[in-house]
Amino acid sequence: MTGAVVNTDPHGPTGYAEVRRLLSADFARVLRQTTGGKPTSRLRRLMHLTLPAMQVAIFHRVAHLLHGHGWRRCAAAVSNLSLRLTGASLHPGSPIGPGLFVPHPARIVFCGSAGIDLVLLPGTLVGPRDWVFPGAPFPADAPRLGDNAVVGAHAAVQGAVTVGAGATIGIGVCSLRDVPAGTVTMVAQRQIRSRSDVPEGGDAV
Amino acid sequence: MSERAETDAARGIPLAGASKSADGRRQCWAQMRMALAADRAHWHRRGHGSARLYRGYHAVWLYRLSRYSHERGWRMAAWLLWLVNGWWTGSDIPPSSRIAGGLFLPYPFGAVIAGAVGRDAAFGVQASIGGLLKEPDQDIGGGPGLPLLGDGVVLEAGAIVLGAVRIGDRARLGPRTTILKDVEPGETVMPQPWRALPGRGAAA
Repeated sequence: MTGAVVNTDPHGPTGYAEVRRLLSADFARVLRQTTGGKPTSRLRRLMHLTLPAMQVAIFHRVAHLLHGHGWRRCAAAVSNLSLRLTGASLHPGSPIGPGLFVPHPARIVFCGSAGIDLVLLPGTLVGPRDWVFPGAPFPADAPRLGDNAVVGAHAAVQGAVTVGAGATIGIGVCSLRDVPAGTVTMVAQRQIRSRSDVPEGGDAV
Repeated sequence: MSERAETDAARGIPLAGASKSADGRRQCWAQMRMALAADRAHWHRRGHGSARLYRGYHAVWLYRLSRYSHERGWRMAAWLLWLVNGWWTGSDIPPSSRIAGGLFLPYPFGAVIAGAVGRDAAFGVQASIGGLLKEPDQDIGGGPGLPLLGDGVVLEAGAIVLGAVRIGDRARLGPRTTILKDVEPGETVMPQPWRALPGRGAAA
């Protein structure tokens, strides 16, 4: 994890300059994802500030700043507001590197550390096995995600797990052990398919 | 309160004719109060502070009020309390589901609890129980096509129990498991392990 310099800082961003640096990196990431690097007008760039991805990033950076300053209850309140407005609940103590991208923040629960360019897809559960409240201090057994990690839709990373750099957690994967760098994980989809011409009263699953 | 009524109250079983007599009404209210005390005791055992400050306890509290209204036959009040519960905590716990005392629900956002739950259950993040999308064919005690959970069941994050299924006492359902069959008492269910996509990355 080369870009984990931010993560090793136990107190989080120490000032507004750090938060601005992280937020501008997030904004650049969102712009890169949505426009594909094509030049856009100033108004259109400004419009991207209202995207849910940017809202999540802004709320989390502010909450993380407050958490780093020891204002844990205020950080929890900001996190709660973010949950109500966007649907993503990120633990305010979780150190996330620059370039966070959360395209669809519904049902996301995140409590872990991550490197640069993290992508969280909807419905992901990243955190220790037992639940920690946003007002609680950052737990020691939280998962550690490397750089460029992608956590797929409805996936879960639980416990003190290390996910290597560039790893992709597939759709619906529950990972309780370490994931090596660069791996694309998946689960076997065992589906039972049958014709739909079963008689009435049969299971239409 | 008689011994029988006390046992039933601890299990969350509705008293017969709760709204008929003043005594029955008092017992119904006392049952709700006992269940709420058991909820707070469970929160306290888990090492968290005052349960009343947390939204998960608000969800359980609103559910109990809604359940009380449901038993008394105040259908509009029960529905309104259920609606308030959904708006304030984001959880969907219908008043028709029967939950005994000692429910621990730390993260109510997105929790759906439809069915019968025993004492001292713990629901993790996004853990939910409910019915399948089909015509309910049997009722094992939790409602038509709804699961029946024993005492001390722990549902870890994202565990889902669907259909008319019996979960034994002190069973532990691991994270992101989908339970469609019965689980023995004391059994632990873990999710399917992942494997690496072949031909991709260092570990392939």
